[in-house]
Amino acid sequence: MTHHPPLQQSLTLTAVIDRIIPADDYPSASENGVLVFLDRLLATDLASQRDLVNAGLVAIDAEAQSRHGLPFASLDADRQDALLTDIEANRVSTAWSVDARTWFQLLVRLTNEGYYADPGNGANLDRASWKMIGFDPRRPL
Amino acid sequence: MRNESIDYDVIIVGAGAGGGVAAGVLAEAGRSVLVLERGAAMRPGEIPLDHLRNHRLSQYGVNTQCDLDGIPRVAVDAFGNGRTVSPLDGAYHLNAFVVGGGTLVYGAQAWRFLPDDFRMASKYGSPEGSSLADWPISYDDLEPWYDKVEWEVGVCGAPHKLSSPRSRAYPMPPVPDTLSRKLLQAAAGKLGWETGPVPLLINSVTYNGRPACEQCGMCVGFGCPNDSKNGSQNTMLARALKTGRCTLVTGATADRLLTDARGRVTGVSYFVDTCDTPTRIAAQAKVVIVAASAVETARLLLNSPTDREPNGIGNNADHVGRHLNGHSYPGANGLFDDIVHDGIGPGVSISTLQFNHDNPGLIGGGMLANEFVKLPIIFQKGSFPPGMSRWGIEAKRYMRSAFTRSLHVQGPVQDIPSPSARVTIDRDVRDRYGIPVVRIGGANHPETARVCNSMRDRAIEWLTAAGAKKVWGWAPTGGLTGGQHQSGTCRMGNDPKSSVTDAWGRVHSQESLYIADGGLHVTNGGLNPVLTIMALAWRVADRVSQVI
Repeated sequence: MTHHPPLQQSLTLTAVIDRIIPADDYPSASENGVLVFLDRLLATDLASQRDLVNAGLVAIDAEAQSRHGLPFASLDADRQDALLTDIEANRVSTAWSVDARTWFQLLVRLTNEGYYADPGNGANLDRASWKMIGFDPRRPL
Repeated sequence: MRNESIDYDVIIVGAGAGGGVAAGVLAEAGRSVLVLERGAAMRPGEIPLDHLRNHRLSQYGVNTQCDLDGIPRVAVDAFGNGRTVSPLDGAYHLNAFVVGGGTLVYGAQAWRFLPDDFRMASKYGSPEGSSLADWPISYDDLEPWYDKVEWEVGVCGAPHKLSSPRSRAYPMPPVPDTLSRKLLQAAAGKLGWETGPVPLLINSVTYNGRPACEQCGMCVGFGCPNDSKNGSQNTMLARALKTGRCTLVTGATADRLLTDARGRVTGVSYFVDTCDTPTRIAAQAKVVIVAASAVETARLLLNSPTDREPNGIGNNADHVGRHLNGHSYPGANGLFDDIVHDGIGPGVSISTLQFNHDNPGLIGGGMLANEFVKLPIIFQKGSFPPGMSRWGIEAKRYMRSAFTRSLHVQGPVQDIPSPSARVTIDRDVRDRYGIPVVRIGGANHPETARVCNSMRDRAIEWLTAAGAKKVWGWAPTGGLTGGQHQSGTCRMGNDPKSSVTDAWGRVHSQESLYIADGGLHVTNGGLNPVLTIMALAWRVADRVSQVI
């Protein structure tokens, strides 16, 4: 495997993906292993997007600091959701080095891929999402 | 270039649906056969079960073994601008590059085309700008070959009221009932529509020494854990190899047809990698059958110019590569209050042929069926109502409630072909062996979009009658199709001015060159094409066995 930088601000990343798929009586994205999925994918098939993901994580903390004086992970869930809704609409007030909407849409896509794909991709090791929705592959994986 | 030490009776390029069947027929008829396949041979049990890298969702890769680097194509947009694309780009129109081709991992719908599918121009007239034409053969001409394929390769099913006439029953009964089949059957009854099972190239009972389907939830896009799915690789190609007269070379990429001084086809040259170094080999045969898929077959012919045929073999009338089409897929999703999906595979289990023909004001039509059991991530990507957010607690709750409370009805529309939808050669973009790659561009005739809209409305009607509380549909706008159902690039016909091959699949200008894949299809039916590809390949191979 080629050398790749670590995912930045993993607290921030955890907070973002856990608003994309929050916890209820089934696990949140990070509780279901999505960080492992992301780290692996962004080092292999999607290595080209690693810098984009990292740049957005820096930018969202700057955006949160500017609005609320706190990093993103320290905001309450309502404020996190409101901020992500604005980012999705590209309503940002600080300077982003990447397109805010593109960054968020990528994370939404990847978080769902990790959460709902097979355990071989690094997340969903106990098939929690499959049990939740009622999918049974009915074959050994 | 190294020469093969043996001269074969027949060289077959491509070990997919058509090539595998042709190999079995010819080897069993006593002919020596060389089969060239660019991909690898895989046992079904070793095909990866990756939900993001398979032939249903190829997000980051596929689950068949073929190096996808170094084999680009060029996608041409409406303004004629080319863009180099990888096999994972939808505009590439990928089918599986592996022994068995698509049949190793397909959903295995085993439809016979309908009698009217062979005479579309006579029935409807050919709209201006289209290349809608009749086949040079009728359904009756192909019926005996459909029958052979159903029994020798193995199909389960039961006839519909409106399905094609048949000389014999299906060799196997349909796969067992599903919850969605019962629901949709009752709804169609209310609407007065005919329905029936979807015929499948799957063992519903033990057949040909392999066991019955165990109805897992990961069928389409994957190999079968039980080897109950009947592709060419475990039926006719396996039979060919068993004769001892068939040589299968994998990892072999054909680059051109070889000709003698008079421009007559005498063989094929191909590349294989020996210790990572490409070796080019020339193989000679009495007959060459090209069955490399509609796109790659056209590429091979176009990449083989001679003095006599300077624009590519078979292409003096400029039809090689034209009329490319696959299937447009309109459909609808319905959301129910109760559980309607039991997850019993393959899942596709009920269909209607009510709208394949005789729709007022439309040319042709299409079939509708319920969808295969979906991978959760495919459901997440494709089955949210329009406008619904894909993140947050509501999205999670939707996934949780909707996966088993949704039905998805869709089907292939008979695309109205256009000469502008075509494969050409891009001399500036080459694959890893230096072989010029294809440019793919153009669109189906606009009449196709009208049919798509109508079929979407029928899908909505069906789900509504079934009691769905929320229904939404979609319809393609008639753009380019191809992909796994690619067809039309070497169409059959009686007139060399308007077709590439004769009614037996022989290229008009050549005595020893035949085609045996979807490229032959003059039109592609409003039904999955694989049984027709196999039936035609059988017929072509039988013909070849009589002339050599």
